[in-house]
Amino acid sequence: MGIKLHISDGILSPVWVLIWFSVAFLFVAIGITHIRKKTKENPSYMPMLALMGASIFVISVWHIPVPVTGSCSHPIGTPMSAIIVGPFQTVVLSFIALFFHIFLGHGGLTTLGANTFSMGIVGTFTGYLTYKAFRKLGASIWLSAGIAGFIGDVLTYITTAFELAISLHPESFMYYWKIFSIGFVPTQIPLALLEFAFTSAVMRYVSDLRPEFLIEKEILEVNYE
Amino acid sequence: MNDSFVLKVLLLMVLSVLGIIVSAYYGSKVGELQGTDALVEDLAMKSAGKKAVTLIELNETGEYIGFTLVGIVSGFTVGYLIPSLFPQKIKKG
Repeated sequence: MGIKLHISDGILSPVWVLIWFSVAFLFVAIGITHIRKKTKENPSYMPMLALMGASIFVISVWHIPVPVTGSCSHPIGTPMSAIIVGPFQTVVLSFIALFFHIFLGHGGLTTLGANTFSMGIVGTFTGYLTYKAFRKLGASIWLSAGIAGFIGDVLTYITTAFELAISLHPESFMYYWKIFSIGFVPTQIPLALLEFAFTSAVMRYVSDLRPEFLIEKEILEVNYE
Repeated sequence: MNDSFVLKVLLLMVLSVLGIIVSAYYGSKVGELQGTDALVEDLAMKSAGKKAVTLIELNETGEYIGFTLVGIVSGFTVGYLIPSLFPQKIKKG
């Protein structure tokens, strides 16, 4: 068993491997077009993208012990990246990070699409939309970002549970979805709180030092905070 | 020592080292913790009667070497890019 992260090879059925890959490739393709457009518009966008890529790579392979459950797991980092560089672009970064995780013995080649879907698409978009929603409601940057990190993290694991359940037990997937979610969530809640802390801290840092990054993306009003 | 950036970095380093010490102490008391992904994966496999496959199986040393290399490359990337992306504010006066 050991400390393996993400879904390994040989678990998902070929049909679901294809479905998750199709969805992932669609988002990656859109993400690449966004990256090409943004890098032409703003030369400082590429270093920021590289910075977020390196961050996602390390954060999502960082197994942190959770004493209360006696196991360990990892945060995801994609909500933070989605807020700063954009959601579609973050899907591309997640795909690349998850691909290189395979060489560290985490995840799998056939499950790359499924892992990208859970961490790169669901984690990214739920985090990003949560941030936008809370900002619209008037919440502060750090609080909106923190909640985005928390929600993105937890939903990533609920999605992973869904992927396992629908592929392995299509006839009774609701029951197994619940079982697998119960397996993930107790360990993931403390890590989601950690995700809350660092996402809010990073966003506060970026908004203090380089607010133009957020103003350009229209997620920060000019008269912020 | 009045440089707030240095103080923040020092605080971050102290907190990181503290986290590592606590984790190491906990690890020495409890032993190696299983990954949640692997635990749920194992549960899922047993329920379906299938077996997971790992393309690249790293032993403990390989894991440490891999993680160290990842840390070095990512650390250099982040360290190289942060000063250009987030220049320190120059105080007037």
